[in-house]
Amino acid sequence: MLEVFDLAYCYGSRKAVQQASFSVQEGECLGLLGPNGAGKTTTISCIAGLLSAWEGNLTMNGEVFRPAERKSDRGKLGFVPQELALYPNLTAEENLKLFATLHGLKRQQCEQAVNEKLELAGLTDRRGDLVGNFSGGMKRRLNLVAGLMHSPSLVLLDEPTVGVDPQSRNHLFEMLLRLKSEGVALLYTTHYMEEAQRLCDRIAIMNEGTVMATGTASELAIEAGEEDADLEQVFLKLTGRSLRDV
Amino acid sequence: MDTISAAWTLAQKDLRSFLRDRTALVLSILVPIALVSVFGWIMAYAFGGSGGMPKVTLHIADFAHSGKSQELVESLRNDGNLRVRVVKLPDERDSMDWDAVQTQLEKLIRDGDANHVLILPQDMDQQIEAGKIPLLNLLRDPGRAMEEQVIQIALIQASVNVFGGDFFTGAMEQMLNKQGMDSQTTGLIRSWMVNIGSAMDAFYESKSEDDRQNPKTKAGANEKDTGESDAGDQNGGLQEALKPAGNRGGGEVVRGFMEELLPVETKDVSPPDRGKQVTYQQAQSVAGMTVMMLLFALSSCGSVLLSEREEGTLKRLFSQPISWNAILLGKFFFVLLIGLGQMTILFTYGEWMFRVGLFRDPVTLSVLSISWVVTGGAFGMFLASISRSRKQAESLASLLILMMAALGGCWFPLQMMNLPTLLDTVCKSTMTYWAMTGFQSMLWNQLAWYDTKILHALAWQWCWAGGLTLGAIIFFKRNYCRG
Repeated sequence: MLEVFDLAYCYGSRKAVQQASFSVQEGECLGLLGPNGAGKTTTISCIAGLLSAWEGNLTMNGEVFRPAERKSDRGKLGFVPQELALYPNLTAEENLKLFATLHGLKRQQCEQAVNEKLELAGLTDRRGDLVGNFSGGMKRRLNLVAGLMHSPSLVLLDEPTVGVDPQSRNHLFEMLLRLKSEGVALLYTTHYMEEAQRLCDRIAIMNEGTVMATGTASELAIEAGEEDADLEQVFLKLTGRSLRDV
Repeated sequence: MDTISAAWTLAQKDLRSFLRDRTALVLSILVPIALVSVFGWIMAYAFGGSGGMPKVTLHIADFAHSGKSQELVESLRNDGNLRVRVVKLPDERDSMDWDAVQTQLEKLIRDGDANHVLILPQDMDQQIEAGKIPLLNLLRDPGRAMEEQVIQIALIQASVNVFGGDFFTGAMEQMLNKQGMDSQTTGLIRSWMVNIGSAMDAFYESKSEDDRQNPKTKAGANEKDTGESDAGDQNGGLQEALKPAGNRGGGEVVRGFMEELLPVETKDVSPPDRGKQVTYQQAQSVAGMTVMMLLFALSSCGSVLLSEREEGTLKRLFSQPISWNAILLGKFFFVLLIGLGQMTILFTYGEWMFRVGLFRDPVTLSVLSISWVVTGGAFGMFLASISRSRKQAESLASLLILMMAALGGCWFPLQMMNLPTLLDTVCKSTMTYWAMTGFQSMLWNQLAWYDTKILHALAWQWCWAGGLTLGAIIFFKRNYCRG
């Protein structure tokens, strides 16, 4: 579905991403795993169309994909930012309607999408409440479904579980697994090993802007030369133990 | 940790954070400095200080065009409180269409180009030769009472200077006649007054001679009673009587008496639809406060853009299948709607409170309001696009708005100030000045939107709006859009 070849991006003279290549298939969840400052968010921002001055090639279903330049390309993907990108003075329903409308959904489609996503997020009975009054977990769930209003075939998730309780995290995982089962491709950035292990079919380990290795957890362990090691040990072996103060 | 310690720790944290925000720090110092400077500067010209008292503009139409009339004009020109403008009249006085000229002079006041026009009649010299005090005409804007008092005092002084003692005695005679005293008695009184005047002249002349010969004696006398120092001048007594008029209660009585003496026939000229009870200051306040407060509201709305960036929602908006200019335009629409709403509320309140006739011409009001909302909105968007944080935008907005409000005449009418050329140019370069010009032309002079004066003001506002919008687009692309 999505192919990324030699993606590179610089913030001034600092190379944030260099020669990153990977692909995500339909119904697959690819985890971008890396320490702080590895370039995960920059990579996902390039794909989401938030950054334009990148180098490399992106294709989607075999066609050139230029989300920063083409609105239609942005319309093909769903984006769930790390921040709680919601309007606290609007209700849950109003927030979702806004993003559905921006994706060009007609009134009836909009109503239907809002009902579906509220149900998916478990917030149907709170649809009329102001988002500012929601708990962190509720906001996270709503933040996720706000990126799914137009039923995209590819969803980019930038650390969507930051700061949520186990119950909400579990609910988020169930939502994502459901999406995957529906054939939606997920590109998921995280630095939590257990999340990657539970959710991702394949994992791309990033470090200092480059993709060090890609594969399933067991494939990565073999590549790291430690077949019996868990993902965290593999991760530390590949990325090193030094602190990342970016 | 106890409450006080926790509060202190938090205060330290906030202080540290503030001191690290260099822009906010600089602005927090610059804002008060700039405000103090601008207001101090403006006030100096408004209420005295180094710039002197504000000068009142008096237009003079000299139909007499004689030596005496020129002398009167010169005398008024020399008055420190007046700024005299001589109206250019047709050269052929004999074949002049009086009604047309009169209408033109009245139009000057109706259009707001003049507030007082003094007409020196063609037969002024003949009246003087006949031993009469010439009857002058004053066309005036009735809402400018404050300035008229200055003109009246200046006119009395100038009349005394030009017409000499005859003015006082002649005016007294005219007044007594008007009160019903027979002309024989008033003639008698006049001759006594002339005799008294001559005796006083002789006395003060000899006294002056003594003083010149014995200056120490004069100095001593002055120390005892400085009020008599100018009494040698035959008009001095009158001028002394007039001097306290502005600064002590009893002076009002003297001035009232002199106004009674002054043979000036006044005619109120104001647009027919203007409410009689409306004063210039009320119209000024309603327009000025609305213009200024709208800028505050719109700059605050513009900074919603910054909130979106700070809260992360802008990132999500950029990932939607919409263009960046839709985001900017959306914000602009929001700002315009808020602005129009606020203007409607403020004007409705102003009309209810002061009855300044705001809704007399709804088309002109709408044109001016929309124009100012667009300009103010562009200003708000520009501020948001150049600022890095909300705090920075708010500080910058306060600084610029208060400065422009003072310079543009939102607080005090600039026409009443004695501004030097440089400051006058600075004032005219602000967008608030043009907004005020537009609203004042509509409110006070009752001009319609297609009048040149309003069109001129609108053109300047649209120039500002265009420039600011262009700036907002450039900086928005640079600071907000995809890198």
